[in-house]
Amino acid sequence: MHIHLNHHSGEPIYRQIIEAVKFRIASGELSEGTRLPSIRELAGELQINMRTVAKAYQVLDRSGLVVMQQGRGVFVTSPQAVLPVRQRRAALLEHARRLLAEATRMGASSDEVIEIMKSATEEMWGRADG
Amino acid sequence: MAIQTRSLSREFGTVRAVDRISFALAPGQVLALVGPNGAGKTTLLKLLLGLIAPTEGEATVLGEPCFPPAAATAARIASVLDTCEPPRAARIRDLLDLKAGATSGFDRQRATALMQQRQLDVKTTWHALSKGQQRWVLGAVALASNADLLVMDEPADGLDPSARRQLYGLIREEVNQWDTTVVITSHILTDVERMADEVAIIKHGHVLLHASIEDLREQIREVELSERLSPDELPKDIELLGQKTVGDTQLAWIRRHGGSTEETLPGELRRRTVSLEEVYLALTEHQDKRAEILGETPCR
Repeated sequence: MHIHLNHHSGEPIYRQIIEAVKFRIASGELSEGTRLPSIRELAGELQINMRTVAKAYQVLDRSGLVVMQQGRGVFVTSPQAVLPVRQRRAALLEHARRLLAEATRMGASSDEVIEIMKSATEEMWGRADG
Repeated sequence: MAIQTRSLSREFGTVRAVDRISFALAPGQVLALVGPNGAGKTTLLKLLLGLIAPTEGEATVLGEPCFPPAAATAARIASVLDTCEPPRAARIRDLLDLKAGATSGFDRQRATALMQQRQLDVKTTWHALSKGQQRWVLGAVALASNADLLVMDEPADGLDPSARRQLYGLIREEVNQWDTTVVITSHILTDVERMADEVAIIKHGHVLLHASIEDLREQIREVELSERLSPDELPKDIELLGQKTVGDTQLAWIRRHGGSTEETLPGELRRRTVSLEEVYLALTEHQDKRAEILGETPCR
C-alpha cells in the first residue's frame, strides 16, 4: 500500500496513515474484506517505527473502519462506513477529477460532462436533484 | 530502559560539557541528539560508551553502569565516532577482519554486502576513500555488528542524499527487526524528523527538550496572539515555548503536554503546525534571549 508521508508538515505520521487509509476506503480502492499490510510490513515499507503504524491501526480499529484479528491480519470492515463530510468530498473530488481527465482526453466539454452526470443521476433516482 | 542517566555530568577544567542530564530511552527507539556545535552531544555519547568517566551523576546502558565499562556490555554496543579513525593504509577488508576478530556477533557477509551497496571495493585503502565513503564504511561496520545499542556520532556526515536515505533506512530496518536501540547526532533536522522517534535538543550541556517527534507534531502549534489569547492567560496545560513579532503580529509557539493542542485552543484561533527546525530555533534562540534578560551567563 503506497502511502506518501510528509515528515516535515508537522502533521503526526500516524494521522497521515489514518487519513490515507480512510481515503482509500472512501474512494473504493480498499473494499470490504481487503487485508491491509501487517504492522511490520507497512512499517518496513514506510521506514517508520512499528509503534506508529500500530497506533494508526488501533485508531482505525476503534473507529470501526478496520478490524484487527489476532494472528490473521487487519481487514477493511465496510465500505459504507460513515465518513466525515470533508473526507467524503475529498474522495468524490478525486473520482470527479479522473472522470474529467478522461472526458477531456475524449474531447468532451465540461458542459457535456455535467449534462451526463445529470442524466445519470436522473436515471438512478428518477429525478435530477437526487 | 535501554539507557538511563541521572544527573550525568562531565567537566573539562572549568567547562561543564554535560551538565546534570537525566533521561531514559526505551529499547527499540531511535533518539537523535541535536544542538549547536559544542553543545555537549559528543561528550554525552562518550559518557554512554564509557570512554570517559562522569564527574557527577551516573548512567546505565543495557542495564549495566557505563563506567567503568564492562566487557560483556561493550560487546553489545556498536559505535561510530570520529575518534576511532582507522590507519590510513588499512584496506576495508582489513577493518572487517579486525572487527570480526574482536566482535563475536559481527556478520562479515552483511558488512561486505553493505560495501557493495555503495559500490565500495573491500580492497580500497582508508585514505583513498572520500569523507562520505569513510563514514559509510564505519556505519556499515556498526550495522553489521548485530549490536543491541548503536551509538553514532553524525553517521551521515559527508554522505550524499541518497546514501543518507539508505543509511537511515538500514538503521530503521535494524530497529524494527531486532528492537535495536539507537542514539545518533545530526545537524540535519529534516533527516531527524524522518528517521528518529525521539529528539533531544541540547545546548550548553543541558537538555532543553526531550520528546517523541510524533508528540511534538501533535502538541506544538504556532498561534497568533491577540486579545483572545494573551501569553498570561494560556490554559494551565499549555506551555509557552517562544514568541516573536512579525510586522504587527505577535506569534507564539505553544505546546500542550499529554494530548493534542487542537483540543484546548479556541476553534477560531489561527494556528499552524511547525517543523522540527522551527521548534529547534524557537527553543535555542528563546533560551539565549531569556538568559540576556535575566542577566544569566550560559553555564559553560
